[in-house]
Amino acid sequence: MSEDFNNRPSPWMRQYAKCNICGKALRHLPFAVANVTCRDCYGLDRYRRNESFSPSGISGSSSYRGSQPFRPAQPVIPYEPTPRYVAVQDPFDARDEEVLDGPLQAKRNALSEKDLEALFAPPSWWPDEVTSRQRTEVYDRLLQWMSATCSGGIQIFRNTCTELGLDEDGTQASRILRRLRLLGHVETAPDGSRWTVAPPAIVQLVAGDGSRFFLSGARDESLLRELEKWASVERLPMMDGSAPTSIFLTVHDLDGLFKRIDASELKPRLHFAFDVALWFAQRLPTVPEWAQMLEVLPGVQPDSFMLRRHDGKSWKPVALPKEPGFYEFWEDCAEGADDPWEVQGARPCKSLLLLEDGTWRRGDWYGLSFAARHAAQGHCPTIYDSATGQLAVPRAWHWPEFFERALVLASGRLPCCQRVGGQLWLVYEGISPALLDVLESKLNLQTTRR
Amino acid sequence: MATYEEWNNALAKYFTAGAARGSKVYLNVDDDSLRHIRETLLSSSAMPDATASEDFCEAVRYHVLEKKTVCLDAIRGRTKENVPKSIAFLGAMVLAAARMGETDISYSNDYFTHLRDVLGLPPTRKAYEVTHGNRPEGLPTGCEEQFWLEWSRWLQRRGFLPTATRGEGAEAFRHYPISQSLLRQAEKDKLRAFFTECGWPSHLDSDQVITRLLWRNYGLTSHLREVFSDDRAEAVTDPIYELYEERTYQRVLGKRSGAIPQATQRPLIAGLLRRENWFNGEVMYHLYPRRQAHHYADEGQIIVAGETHQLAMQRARWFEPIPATVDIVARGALHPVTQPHFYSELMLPQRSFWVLVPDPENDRSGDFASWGAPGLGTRFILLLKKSLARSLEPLRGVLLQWQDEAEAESGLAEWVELRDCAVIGEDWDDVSLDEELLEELRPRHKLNVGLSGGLRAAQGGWLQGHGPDITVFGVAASEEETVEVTIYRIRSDREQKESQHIYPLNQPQIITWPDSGIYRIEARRGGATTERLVLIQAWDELCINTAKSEYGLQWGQWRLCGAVGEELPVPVKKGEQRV
Repeated sequence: MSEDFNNRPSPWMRQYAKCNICGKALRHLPFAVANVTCRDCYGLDRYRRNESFSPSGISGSSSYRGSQPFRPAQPVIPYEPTPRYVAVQDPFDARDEEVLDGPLQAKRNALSEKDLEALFAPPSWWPDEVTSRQRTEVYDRLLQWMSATCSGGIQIFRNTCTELGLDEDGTQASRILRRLRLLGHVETAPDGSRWTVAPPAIVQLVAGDGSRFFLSGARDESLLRELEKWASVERLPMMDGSAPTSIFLTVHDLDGLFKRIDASELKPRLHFAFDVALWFAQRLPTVPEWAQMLEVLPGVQPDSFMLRRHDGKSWKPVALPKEPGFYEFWEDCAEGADDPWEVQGARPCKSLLLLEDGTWRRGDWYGLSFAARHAAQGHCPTIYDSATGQLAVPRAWHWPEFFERALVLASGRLPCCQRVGGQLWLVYEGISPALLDVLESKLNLQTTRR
Repeated sequence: MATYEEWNNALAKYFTAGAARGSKVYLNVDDDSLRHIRETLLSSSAMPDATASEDFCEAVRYHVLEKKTVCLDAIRGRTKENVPKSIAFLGAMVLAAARMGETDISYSNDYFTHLRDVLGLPPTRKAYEVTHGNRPEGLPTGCEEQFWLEWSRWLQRRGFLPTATRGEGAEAFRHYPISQSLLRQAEKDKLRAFFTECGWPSHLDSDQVITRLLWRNYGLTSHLREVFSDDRAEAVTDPIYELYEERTYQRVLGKRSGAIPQATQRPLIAGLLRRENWFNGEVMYHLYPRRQAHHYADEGQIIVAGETHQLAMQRARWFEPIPATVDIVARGALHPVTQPHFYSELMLPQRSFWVLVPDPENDRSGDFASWGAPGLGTRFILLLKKSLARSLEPLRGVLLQWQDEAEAESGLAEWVELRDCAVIGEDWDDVSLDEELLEELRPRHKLNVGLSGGLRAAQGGWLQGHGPDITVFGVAASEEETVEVTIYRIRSDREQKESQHIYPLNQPQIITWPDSGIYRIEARRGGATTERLVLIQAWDELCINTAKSEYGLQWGQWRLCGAVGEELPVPVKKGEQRV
């Protein structure tokens, strides 16, 4: 059949009334209606008669027809452009607001016994219990929502954090995700654009007699109720309320628990992880090996940016990246202004690690900073309290997320931050001597044992 | 032969399974849908010699009639699956409505004559007709309303919007089944004849087919024009598209008539999904396969550029998007589908524009796709050829508004994206524009209830304490114009008015949702009415979604996902054996 068929009047096509001025067919009026005027002609006629336009009379409004000039006389829906996010945060930049530059200000030798007591004591700056509990409840809801949603884009996650009141300024989402990853609750895509909740797992604590576990990954009320039937469950909010409630289980009859889970509906979705921190630590690469595993960023053009390099102690402006190290790429600021990094609240465009082989690598900000310090000093200082199983790491040496996971998975708790001896420390708990031994060899730790 | 109970449950499943929560459900029973139900849901108990309609009618007669009198007691209450027992009987009433015709063709317009025929009842006796009209014996005026209301409540409790409505005057109760029949048999016959004759190309998607029909006004009866002018337009799209597909099938087989058997292959039509990388602003387009209504395939396989992709359900009616190169936008795409067998290929039609609306299940997800036509005031992205974009310029600020015009991705030199686009005027009648684009942009309703913000629940709806804000969009001459908004709460046995407000048009209103539950928002202004369903879910109803975790730390031969570590299998090289 020829295409001309399309232009042929259909046997069912109706005849329409025509405008008595311009002769145009009026599609919504049957042919029997006579003496009618189309909108264009009616509007034009009224215009010539100098009648004012009545907004309520939509039928009398003018509208666009072919090349005639359009007269915007119709009422319309008010239009406000949707606000757009101007600043886009680097997904890997999850550092806290504290300035991490500067050399390690205090040496282990400078810490007195009193300082060490304070270092491993509960921090005095913790928020009060009510505030901490309220914040924890919000994080619980966030994890509950993620467990039900399963996966999504980073934008949905940001929106949810904002809706729940966890991210007022749009900069906290990356940090929240980092904490949730450390605790084994979620995973993210390599480019940081999507997240997915991790499967629920009962994870054995590294320290102790092996009867203590914590719950990681997805959770919901029915899972918690089931677990409460089988084990002694303790709910502990994170000290500063910066993560979901830690769920600890004490299980004396492990075989009995296995049997109960086998017989329940939970079996296909609930995992057990024994000694996962140790298993993970044993398979960790060394720091130089890890640096080689970082994602290569091709086509980097440093000459279009202002650069500064971290030499392991402090930041130094450089013209060109001649030496390996940790570099920040900054947009040039206006003529006569200070250096861009002096501007309050400014952030670099990129933070990259330049390796000996000349490749630029992308990774989490703490990791790149750690790599620079490690390359310069060769070791990482730590203090270990063998009585309590606590490990203190200078905050300036915040470990790469890849390695820090081993510390957090050992206890299911995030580190608490202490200011002792004029500097900030991160104190991890539940670190067994065996785990510390493995980490010492991988990260070349210089540990002072107390 | 399938029993009445089997038909009853099958009908309930057929019309609700796969429907998105909050969407409208029509009990659109006709000869084609009954055939489809028998082929897909009742294949084991089909009577080989009878047509599906005969089988169905026989089951209804056997169950409901007693001495040629309708016995309503047989359809009261619920089945053990908690499904109303009356659905199949109501379906029979709709089947009668579907067999009604226009006055200009050889179908009788008397509803009850058709109902008597469906129930196998003889014509009325004169004496009975004087007192009861043409109604079947045992079905006094209005007695069927209770069953329609029960069907509506049952749908509402499952998060769907019911559509059966009472008419006015003499039409009061007859209107219930008539409102459910989207496409009558006479109209189907007309459209079948038209599609056979029209010579349209075979690779059109449903939007293109409907647009062409509307624009040319071919084969549209007054009933169908009425359907297209109100909110049933979206629901009638699929049945019409199936008729268009039949034509392709018939051409392949060289047949002049006959419906497509369920086992026959047909193309799986894809829409377009646009996703933007939040960090670097890079825009990616995806093929977005849309499952046809009532095709129960939840997974499959497709081959794109020699690579096999899994088809998995993302949501009601939509498969997971498949990444694609940008040139598909300009060229269209055709990829073979290896599973399920009834899809021959995945087809993205070649078009000169794409209307990409925000995700109806999460308007802030950043995804835009061909999920439907934009309502008044809804922000969307218009991806179109530059030549078409130029023709929109005179409409800017009057009927259409957009914030910026961005060059489309490299590889789409002749295309442009109009971002933050909104339809702001309603009088599109005399606009001269590309006909398909005009039909897509023309608002179908004078009012549009927009829901924004809040926290979306995975299973649909919003979470308690984080319900949405309401904006009623409509064309207003001044900022003072208002709209009447009534919020009803749907309970198991009734609908209760929760609150009534007068809100300014086009301004978001913060609503305090009292509790978890299902709410119906009704907006009225002048003669225009629109409604939307809002589901508020309690936090403790959330449950873990057990889908496999996609990401994790992977290094060497190990993987850590959350707190679960595993050793990955080492790929065996040729000539080697694993120890």
